[in-house]
Amino acid sequence: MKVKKMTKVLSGLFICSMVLTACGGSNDSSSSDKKESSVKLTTEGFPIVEEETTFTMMAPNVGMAEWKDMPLFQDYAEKTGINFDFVTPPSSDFSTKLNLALASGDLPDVIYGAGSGSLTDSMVIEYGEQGTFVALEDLIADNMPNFNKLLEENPEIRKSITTPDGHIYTLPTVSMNEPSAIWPRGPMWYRGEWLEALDVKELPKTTDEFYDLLVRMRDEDPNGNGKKDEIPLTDVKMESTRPWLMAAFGLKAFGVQEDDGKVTYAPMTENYKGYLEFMNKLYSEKLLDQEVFSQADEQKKSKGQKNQLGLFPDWFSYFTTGKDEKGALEDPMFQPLTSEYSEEAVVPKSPGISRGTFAITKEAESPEALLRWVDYFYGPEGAYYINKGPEGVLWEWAENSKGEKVRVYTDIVDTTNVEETRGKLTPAYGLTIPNIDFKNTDDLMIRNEADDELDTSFADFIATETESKLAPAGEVPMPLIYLSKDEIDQIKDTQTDLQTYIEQMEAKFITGVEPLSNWDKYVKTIESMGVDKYVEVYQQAVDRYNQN
Amino acid sequence: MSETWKKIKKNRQLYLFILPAFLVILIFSYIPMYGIIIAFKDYVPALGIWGSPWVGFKHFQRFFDSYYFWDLLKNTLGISIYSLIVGFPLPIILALALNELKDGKFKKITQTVTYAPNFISVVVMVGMIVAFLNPSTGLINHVLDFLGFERMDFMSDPKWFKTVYVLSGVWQSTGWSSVIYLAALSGVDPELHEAAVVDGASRLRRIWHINLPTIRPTMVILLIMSVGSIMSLGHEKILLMQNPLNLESSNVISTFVYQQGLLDAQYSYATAVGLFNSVINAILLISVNKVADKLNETSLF
Repeated sequence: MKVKKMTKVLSGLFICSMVLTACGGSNDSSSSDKKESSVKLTTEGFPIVEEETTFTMMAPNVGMAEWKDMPLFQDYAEKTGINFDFVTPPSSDFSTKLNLALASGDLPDVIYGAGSGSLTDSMVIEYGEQGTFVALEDLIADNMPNFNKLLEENPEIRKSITTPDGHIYTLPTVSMNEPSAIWPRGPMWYRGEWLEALDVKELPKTTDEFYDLLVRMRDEDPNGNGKKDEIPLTDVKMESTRPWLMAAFGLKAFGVQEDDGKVTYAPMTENYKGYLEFMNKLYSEKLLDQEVFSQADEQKKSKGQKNQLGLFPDWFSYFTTGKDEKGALEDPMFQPLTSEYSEEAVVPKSPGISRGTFAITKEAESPEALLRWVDYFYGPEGAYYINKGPEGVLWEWAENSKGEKVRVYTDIVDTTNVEETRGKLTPAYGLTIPNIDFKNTDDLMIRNEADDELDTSFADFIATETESKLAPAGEVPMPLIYLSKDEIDQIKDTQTDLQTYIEQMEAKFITGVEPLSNWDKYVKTIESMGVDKYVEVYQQAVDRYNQN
Repeated sequence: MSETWKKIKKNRQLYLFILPAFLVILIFSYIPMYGIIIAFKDYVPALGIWGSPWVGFKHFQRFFDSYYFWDLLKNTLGISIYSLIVGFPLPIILALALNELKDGKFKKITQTVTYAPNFISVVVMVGMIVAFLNPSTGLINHVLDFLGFERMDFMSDPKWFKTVYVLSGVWQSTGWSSVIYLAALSGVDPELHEAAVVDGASRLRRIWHINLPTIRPTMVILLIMSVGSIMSLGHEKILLMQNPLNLESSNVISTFVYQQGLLDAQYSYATAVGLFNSVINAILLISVNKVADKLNETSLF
């Protein structure tokens, strides 16, 4: 008797829970049919909308300030009439949160500043096809004069952001004029004082010369403290040195790379074996940091600040050494190497376009308004505006003694740490955002005092080093292509397995845990994971790209 | 019906006490369970859970065929069983030892010192582990060096991963887990001890014949409960400790599910893997429960 009642109670509860879940699931379907937009646009310029309106935006927060407090958004909202409710999880958590939002259907109107690391190609294709993301290609011509002009002048961009089914779902960051735009990631830098102490007149150009220099750094006490604490070469998990050192062996990518239309898988070539042999030699002779695979970035930086590093990767050298811009001028950039495997120096080059920085979802009432909102940043005025913020926060106009109008920092800015202030006022700090990079011309530079001479020595240094060392050797490892949904499905498993395996094996080969005599076994494993199919799919996509 | 209602009415305060816990479990543990059906579907968010197409056991097949399947299973079971073998007896020993101490400053200090690590967050904890084990600057390696042993890079050697994981876990949780045994020990009838003393039993004998049998039911229950969670290793700590060199022994099912499901957005696949994990877990739990029931007449259900 008792049991029966229990069953009744339980089944009652079960039914309740089913009803609850049914309610929970129903919100997916309601929003698919398009509502009549209540947002009225103006014909041109600012404001964009006739009546003030609010959208929701999801973006990664790099931890400098709350987005709603950023003067840039506040000022731009006044100009345009478009406000935002921000959902900004910390950038370390962003991928997860974005995936959850997309999977649960709890969508923002705009996904901003995600970049292809978080809003991956396969997500763009999948959610685009499902109609979660709005296809933008037809709206661009009418609503985005700046961006449209860019597309017309550079057909490459349109090609790179169009998916195989002919749609544009995300807008890119375009950086074509800055010298550092060709860096695939931060370059490597030599510690200048060490080179001086060792009387090095010319930077190594071959792997042999490079090896010799590292040995001297290890043995001859270049930091002059009488202790043998020098670490000639360092990195965190090889992530930033790999592209530059693999390049000495003629390899441009830690994965698939394209040469003259032909796709190969670099980590199974003889050249790559040569790279591993070389790195293993560096590691076993303590020329490569012994903690390269276990340390975090902070540890690397603290070694740099203790003057223990001879060669290290970073965006700018002073981030690691702790010097200032002036001090960084004495630390030269790494000169690409050649080896018996590659007679000509080759380094990977960034295509200058990053995708996935701006996507509009089906929830957005007026994609047109949002496109007009973002278009401003693709023009010279808006690009400057989003980088340095509105007048009166970071900078203001002043008149110098010659009567010229110049830009100077405002009183609130700590001029020894401008980036700190900048990070609090605009999202254009530590994120790839939808905009275009323009070269900083003299009239755009900001001075400390109105009568200061412009100090462009650091920018010039970066430009010269890049132009002379990296630019001549730079090649894009793989054109920016999209795979189709079908192609992604074919290689999804292989890709994850391969990536995990080669990273793990690289570490083992370099540290000598796995002897290089097991190379054949390694290649066989890669083959058994289906690398042939993987390369074939990419080949197909590259062919398609080259035909268009 | 009326009889049950009467009972409920009579004990309504008790039922009211249970209600929040009951609701929490219902809402957060039972209701979301219907989501596991996406393990048998190709989940497409736009179509919703019910609208997505059925695919049968495709995702399970894919997992079993995966290159990393055996590694994952081996590591998950390896780390769990290692933790269980080392981590289970220690709190009991600690509790028995503490119980023998007379109340006083020393006992209080010992207890506080052993509890304290329980309150350190995982992130800080892993930071401490990494700092202590650093081959050139770490405390442990300084000690090794001083004693004439060779310095070791614990974090990048796959052989050491499990040990570091388990021992740091023991350090963190032993004191805290001993609390429940101490509570059980306080229930020992003092008359038993007095009688044993009269009979000339030594301290160890009394622990063996009086204290241990008293806390045996507690031990069995806790053992069953830890077996139940044997496959559900917390992925946070492992993820934080992972690097390419120890991946071989640190890649476990829960980190794999996190990677595939949340980072690569393969929800159906990750759910299938998670479900497989839970099924093994359930099988283990039920078997141990059965065995305990047979041997000890103590069981969870």
